[in-house]
Amino acid sequence: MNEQELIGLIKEALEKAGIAGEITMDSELGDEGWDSLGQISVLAALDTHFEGKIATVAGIRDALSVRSILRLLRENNLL
Amino acid sequence: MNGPQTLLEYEERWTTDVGKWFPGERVVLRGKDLHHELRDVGWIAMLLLAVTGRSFSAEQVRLFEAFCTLTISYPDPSIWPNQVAALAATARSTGMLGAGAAAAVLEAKIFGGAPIIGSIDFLVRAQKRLSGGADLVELVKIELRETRGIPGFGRPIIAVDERIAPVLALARELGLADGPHLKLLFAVHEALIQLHGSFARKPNIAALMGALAADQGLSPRELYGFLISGFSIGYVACYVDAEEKPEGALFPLRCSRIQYEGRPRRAWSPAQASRRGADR
Repeated sequence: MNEQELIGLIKEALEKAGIAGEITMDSELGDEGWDSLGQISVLAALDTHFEGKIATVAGIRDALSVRSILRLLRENNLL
Repeated sequence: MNGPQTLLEYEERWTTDVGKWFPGERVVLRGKDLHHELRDVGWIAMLLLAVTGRSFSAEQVRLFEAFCTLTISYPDPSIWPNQVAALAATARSTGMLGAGAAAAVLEAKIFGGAPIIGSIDFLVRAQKRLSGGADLVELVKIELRETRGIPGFGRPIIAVDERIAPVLALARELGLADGPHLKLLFAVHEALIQLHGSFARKPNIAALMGALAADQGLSPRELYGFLISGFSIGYVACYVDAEEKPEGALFPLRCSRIQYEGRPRRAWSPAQASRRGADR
């Protein structure tokens, strides 16, 4: 998965949670209706994609932006 | 209200089956003689009768009592309604005023009665739709999409709700843990896990209380009525405790601890204030 695919996955997860809007590397919780339900949907979608490895990533529940999610994925060698 | 007709119908007339005081003779509550038929009825059973007009078994009464004692009356002055009552005490206000103010903040959306009422309302609605053939996961998805959450699921401060285990254990002991709404509550949790995996929100005590109350036949409105006085142990305790503390001493915060980013300090003089007053 590259950065664009990550953005695509986040966008799709947010859309499934009823949140439609532009997602970029600078997007974060609070933007375009990205709320706590959207955040759960994003984390669940990531967890499915990475076959259950996301739930154990320290700090992932507090990663509230595309950039911070990307950083954690890189730090954990998932990206 | 539509014009004077309603007022005319109610002029000197208030039809009710709640009760009546016949001075010097007797008192009736929900059709029962207070001093004879209800002489040995306890506070919770009386409250349930008053609110619903129905009598409940000893086991049910015990369960509703536990709602008040084990879950919603924590005697911690930092909890918001308790803080209001404690503040009233340190401001040297009266207990009734402090209790009234504490009860008023319990109309909040994210604490107090609203999550519990939201939960019972959702469970009753969901149960009806499921009886009509709806799919639970789809129903949960729709609720999430429309209201951004399932009432009674998730907890802002910590993930675990320490109240669930003792209340559930008591309900099981009392033989009151087999109802359809409680089963539905667990099924909703499973549906959330199906949708969100390990990130799924867990049920909190509001969900459990809503489910158990629905299984005892209470409507959301009846549960709301019951809960109006249900929170009182905590804030009354905090009021009484704070009364013994120095005046104005509740949770003070020195100005240097406030990160202020507003307008800087302004010069003030009585003459300026007087001119501003005249301008208005």
